Amino acid sequence: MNQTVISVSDLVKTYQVTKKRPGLRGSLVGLFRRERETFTAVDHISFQVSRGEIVGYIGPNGAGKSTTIKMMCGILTPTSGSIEVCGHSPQQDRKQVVQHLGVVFGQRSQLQWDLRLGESFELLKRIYCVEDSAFRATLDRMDRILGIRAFIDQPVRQLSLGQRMRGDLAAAMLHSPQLLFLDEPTIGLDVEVKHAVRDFIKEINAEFETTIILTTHDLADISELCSRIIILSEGKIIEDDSLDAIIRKVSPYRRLVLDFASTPPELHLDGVETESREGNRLILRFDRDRVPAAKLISDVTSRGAVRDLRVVEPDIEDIIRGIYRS
Amino acid sequence: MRLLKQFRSACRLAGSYIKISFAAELEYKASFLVWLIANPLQFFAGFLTLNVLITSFGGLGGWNAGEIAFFYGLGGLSHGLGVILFSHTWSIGYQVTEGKFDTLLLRPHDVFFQFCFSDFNLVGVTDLIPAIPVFCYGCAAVGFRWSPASVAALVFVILCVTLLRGGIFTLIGSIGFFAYRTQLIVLWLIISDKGIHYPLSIYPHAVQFLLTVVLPIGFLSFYPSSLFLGKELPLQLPGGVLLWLAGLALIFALLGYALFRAGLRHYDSAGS
Repeated sequence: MNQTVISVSDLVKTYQVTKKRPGLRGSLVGLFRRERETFTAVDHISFQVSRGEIVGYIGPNGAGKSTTIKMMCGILTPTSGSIEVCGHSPQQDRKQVVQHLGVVFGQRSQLQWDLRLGESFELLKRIYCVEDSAFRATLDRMDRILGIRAFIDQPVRQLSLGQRMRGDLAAAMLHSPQLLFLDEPTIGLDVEVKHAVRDFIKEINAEFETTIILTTHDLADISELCSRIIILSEGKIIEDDSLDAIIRKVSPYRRLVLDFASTPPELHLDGVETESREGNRLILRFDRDRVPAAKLISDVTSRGAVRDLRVVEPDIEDIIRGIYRS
Repeated sequence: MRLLKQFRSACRLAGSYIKISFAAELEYKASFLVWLIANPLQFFAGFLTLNVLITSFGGLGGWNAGEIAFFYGLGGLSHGLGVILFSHTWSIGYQVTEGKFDTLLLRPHDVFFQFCFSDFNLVGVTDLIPAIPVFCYGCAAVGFRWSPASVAALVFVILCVTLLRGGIFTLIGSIGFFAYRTQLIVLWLIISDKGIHYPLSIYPHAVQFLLTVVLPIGFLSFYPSSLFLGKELPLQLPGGVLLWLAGLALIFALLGYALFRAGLRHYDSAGS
């Protein structure tokens, strides 16, 4: 069943920003005469998210990603438009909405800084009224996925960034939320911990059908985890589709890199262009929809002795950067 | 039934917050030890200064040493309780610019309730500790009659004064939601709070009026002490001290809570 978990309609968030004049004189003038301008952080966006989706919510810095997430969590109040999360308005029924939410801000821990990690978990158990048996079961599961028991008795302030992030992720899951907002959960983490975080996301999504909204600048997170991407720029949604569809739309070409035993042959194939020819290397660019890679390889290898070849997919980072720029 | 369940759940949560705050404060034992020495020293130094003044001038605004001890101790008790529960209202501006309210807004409980208990200030206990012996000494010196009625009145007064102080702290602290930098206002508030260490009767009539009606810090200790000690009031209060105290406590608590809620709606979090 396609159950809608988030419904955002025509959402707008504006801020009144005081224009600062430069220098001391500007500051003094600003005391008496303030010029204010309206800054639109989120500009008439609409989308829906169904249960069990993992959505990558991406965009350049200042695009309005965190602002949208904070409105969906009930932290910020929209200027106009409407939001429904798990059937409630986060602004009018904040308590009901947050009962179903888990939130992790990569740059700001929700844990009790001075206490051991386990004490933060116990406080959250009380806050969300989690039964003892459910608490123990979730903790066991989180330990299996994130290995938190190894440092559960250490004060949070003494944990490494990776341990703290794993602690934050476990904390966000203690009340078994239907919906998880992850705002840059892999920022600053080493490869090993990033891998653990991605495994965690996949596993809770598969096991509990938890809906996940993931904000990240690490496009490996997106390509590995997200079934759908929403790209935001200057407060507006500029793409909302699967990664594959976006790649096909923005960059419909793939490359075939061929190393021949001798000078490469001249090729004139439909839907195929020669991108470069250097020594024994030939790089072809072909339309992924018109020319199947297997057929192209078969055609090329029948015309010359090929020593080595590889099919190169478009670079996701380049594609996303291109979209941001456009 | 549902309300009772909610109340019990809130009490349990408050208990958990208090336990956590104690544990967090005790993580920094040296810091707590310094507070434990410095705050009582400051309190006793203030009390000694008052006694020197009384000895030199034969009284202070018509109050003798025992009465001053009663007044000073009662003020100290409610000050300690106010600091324990509401002192973090002093830093609302800072907490707004740091985006600290995000965490409270993400939890399924009233934000003000969490705000008061999640940062339960154990340092306030170090304000409370010296107030107890001074108040007991004051009670003995003025011959305070302990009876169920007087104890009930005392408990009622301490609760109302704590609520009034909390209301004033919250009202002024909540300006931080709009003004962000409120250190000067808070400093003024703390100084005003210290001002109650002298009987209102030493001030000119205009100041007495101001501290009774506009910013009623006269009710934090002076008026209740006057009531218990049967002293003449500098201003007539129709309906009596207790009615005024309860009314003002309720008004300021509601005003503080309303401004806090309005501030929360104005809250813009912090950039990530």
